[in-house]
Amino acid sequence: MKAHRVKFLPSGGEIAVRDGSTVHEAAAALGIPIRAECGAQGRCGRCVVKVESGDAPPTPHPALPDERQARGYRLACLLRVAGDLVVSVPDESLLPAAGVDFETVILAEDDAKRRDALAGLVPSSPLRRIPLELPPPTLDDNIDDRERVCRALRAAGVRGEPRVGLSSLRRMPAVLRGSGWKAAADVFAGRHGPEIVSIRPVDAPGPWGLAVDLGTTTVVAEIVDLATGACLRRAAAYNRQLSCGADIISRIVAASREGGAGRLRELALETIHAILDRLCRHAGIGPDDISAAAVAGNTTMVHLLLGLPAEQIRIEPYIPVVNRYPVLAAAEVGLGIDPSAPVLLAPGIGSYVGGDVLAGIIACGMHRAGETILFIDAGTNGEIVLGNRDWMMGCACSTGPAFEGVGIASGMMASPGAVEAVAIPSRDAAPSIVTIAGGPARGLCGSGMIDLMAQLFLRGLVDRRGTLDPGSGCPRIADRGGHRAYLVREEGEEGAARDIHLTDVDLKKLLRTKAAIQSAIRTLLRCADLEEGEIARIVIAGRLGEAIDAANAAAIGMLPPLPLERFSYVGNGSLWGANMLLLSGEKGGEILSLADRITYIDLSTHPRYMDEFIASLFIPHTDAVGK
Amino acid sequence: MTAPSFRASGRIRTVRIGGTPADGGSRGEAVEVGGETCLPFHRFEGEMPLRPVVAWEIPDSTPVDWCETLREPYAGVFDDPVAWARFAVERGARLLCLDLRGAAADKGNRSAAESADLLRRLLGAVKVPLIVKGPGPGERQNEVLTACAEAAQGERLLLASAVEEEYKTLVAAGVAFGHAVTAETPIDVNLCKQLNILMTDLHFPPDSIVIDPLTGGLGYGLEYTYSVMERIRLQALGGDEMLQMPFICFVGAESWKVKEVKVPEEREPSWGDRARRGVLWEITTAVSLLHAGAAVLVMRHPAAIAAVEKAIDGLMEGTEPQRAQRTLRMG
Ligand code: FES
Repeated sequence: MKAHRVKFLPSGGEIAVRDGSTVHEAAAALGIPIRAECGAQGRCGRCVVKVESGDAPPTPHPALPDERQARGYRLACLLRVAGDLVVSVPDESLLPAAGVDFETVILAEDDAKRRDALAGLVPSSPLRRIPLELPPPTLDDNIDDRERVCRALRAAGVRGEPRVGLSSLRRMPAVLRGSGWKAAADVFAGRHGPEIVSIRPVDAPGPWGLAVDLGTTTVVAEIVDLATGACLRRAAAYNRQLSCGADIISRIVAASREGGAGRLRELALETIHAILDRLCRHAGIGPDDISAAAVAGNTTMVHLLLGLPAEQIRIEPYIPVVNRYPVLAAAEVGLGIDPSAPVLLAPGIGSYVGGDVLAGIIACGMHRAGETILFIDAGTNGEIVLGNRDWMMGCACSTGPAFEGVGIASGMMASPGAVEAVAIPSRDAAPSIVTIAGGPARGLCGSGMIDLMAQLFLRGLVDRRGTLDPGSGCPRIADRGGHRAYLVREEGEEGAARDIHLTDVDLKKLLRTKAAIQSAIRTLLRCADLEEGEIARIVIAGRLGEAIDAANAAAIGMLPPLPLERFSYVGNGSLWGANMLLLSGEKGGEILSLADRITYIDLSTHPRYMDEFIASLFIPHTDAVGK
Repeated sequence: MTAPSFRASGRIRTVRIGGTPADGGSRGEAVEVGGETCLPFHRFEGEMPLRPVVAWEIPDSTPVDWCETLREPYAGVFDDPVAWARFAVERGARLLCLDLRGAAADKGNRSAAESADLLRRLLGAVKVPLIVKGPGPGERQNEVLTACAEAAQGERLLLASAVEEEYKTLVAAGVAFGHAVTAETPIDVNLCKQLNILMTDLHFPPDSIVIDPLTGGLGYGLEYTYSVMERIRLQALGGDEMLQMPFICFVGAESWKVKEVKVPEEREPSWGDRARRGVLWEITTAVSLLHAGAAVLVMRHPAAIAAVEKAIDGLMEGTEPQRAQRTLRMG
């Protein structure tokens, strides 16, 4: 078998690969996050690399005109290695901020939303740290270490025979003796009785838990004090699975290929571990000090994390392997915390609505409300639930990763420097902007994009199909990379490090995103035979930014045009859900029972959905005019 | 027992094609279409004041792709659009559709000036109103139709077709020179409405728009077009102003391109005489679309046109309120 060497610039990473493998695969093996919105299928044209030396036949694609091919540009996913190669990876081809150098996101607003969402929660974690009265063994009192610990637990009031995993047995003697028999047990209240997760010195800090929001595009995690419920540290990163496709469907397709499931599982774990590593360094603790974890994500993301076959989710009649996950040990999952730590997974509702919405629903109180509430999680896989204490129905729609900054020329995640609010005072004037944490603008996050689209429409700079009007004479409309674009900030303007703009192509993607959400809402309302005006409250979750401007969102039709006081924002509902599972047995039980009460509506087979979608690909909506 | 009847809350707009001297044009008489307050021919439930109209298709250059059956009746005029137009009018045509196919780069590449000149000659030769159809959306069509619009100021042409990606130029030409424009969308209620909104957003008068819902010939998606037209019409009669425009259907072009009108009898004996088959195909397509609400039918074969005119007469007469009442009672 022939092998060739591929070297990547500017990182200088080098790897030997089999003859015929693609440059994209070589980069992935080295951990260089080259974009692949299409899942390395040669369709999206995002994985451009420049061949500096070596043999490279052209890779035809409309995004790569002949003159660029002539200068050595190729698509990494189509370029098969047939000899030694040196390629350089332009910045545009890298996943934004997905490398080791991602942003830590600890925003004051997030903390406030976390407080609100978890208000009323009395920390009563299913994982408790119990100090042990342990007389050292003697010739008379010569029971084994495990029995000694269990005896102490019984004395401390723990009922039932505690189970102990092999890994905690292995570490037990050293801890007991090393601490001079002043130890504590981290005990998890499992379904079949208590489980000893680990024995730690009695003065060890903690117990700590890891809460993870496993998003299709963005992964956010925090370290939580299980005794007090406080958040120690929070950080986010783009999901490394982005190199296998931007949406759920392309991920499932990628996972169905040979070796794919393993690869996607690894990528999910790598993403979590990269965040974990950073969290631990900042918090000054070791990953082994974490005694429990909870993960919330949509059905597919959780399947891929667990290495479960996901292809049936995509194929009619859309059946996941499991909706109610068992509690697993971290070692089984492959999560690099205490190997015996329980990993709690939020239950799924249907094939596409995951446990990530349940916390949001609990937080906003829909399941107890007499009035009808609409809950929207505008993630890559948009999830929407409508209802009250008597009934609830939910659906999922493919919104795509645009609002999280992926696939948008100047897009970025909601982190410091992201433009989160935009106002355009007049057609010719520079737009006024607000960035997260202040400071110079670095890019646009979801809420900024929604504002921008609405403001452009309201000022007559884009038409109802989301096309910038070249005839408007607006000085801020210019050509950028062969597309018409509206310039929010030019390089250097108010300290912007690069051009921040929105192109016609971006606008089309945003139009599809808003149409997906709008048509899903309209379809759900129709199923419930309700009018927009009958919605008492709209609760928005997601990682779009601090808050969507409801008036702007309504101007483009994404959200129903209701009085502003009916809107509220819960922030990252998925992450709060993971927290609830970690922090309260009662809330965890509530989440589980809630999953059974929501009727799942499958939009892909709903007769009106496609019609609604096309009617929504219009600003604000086809039926908003002429009736 | 009284049969339940459908009451419309909206009315289809009346669109006028053809400018008379009073409008600054030179047409003998204008053609008006639309105006319904009922489903097609349901005159027992509302008004259908205007008769659907057949427009004879006049190619601007020899239509080499037309089959034997279509060439035969036009033998003497096949290479001369002006003579062709006269021929049609002599046979009762009230409306013509000049097809500027020759302006397409691969079909003769005629310049905009040449096309406008041909239009002028046609306007001089006949007095009936004209539809002018461009070579297809794009730069070329914009150029050619703008030139024609300018050359025929006051004649109130119906320019075909604006599409979602290319509507601004045509709308501008329509506004500037006072013509009507067809709005073509691919068999979809929402897209149809969206284009009408986009056009009226540019201050184009809604009563100058004719909807081209895009049709297939019989056996080639006709039923799909039928139900979409029906949905558009129901929504329009239900009060949706942005759908209250009459329909145009390019019946001839669609029915004469299907396999069933081309295959010779020797190859499919059970299909019968090819010429008869072709004519019947065009008739059946046209009559079906009339029932779906078509107000303008652009057609090709004189025998098919004659049959459809007769069918329209029958449908209009047979659905007169008194007569329909009688039929209902008898039934
Ligand atoms: S084209 Fe290469 S990843 Fe999409």
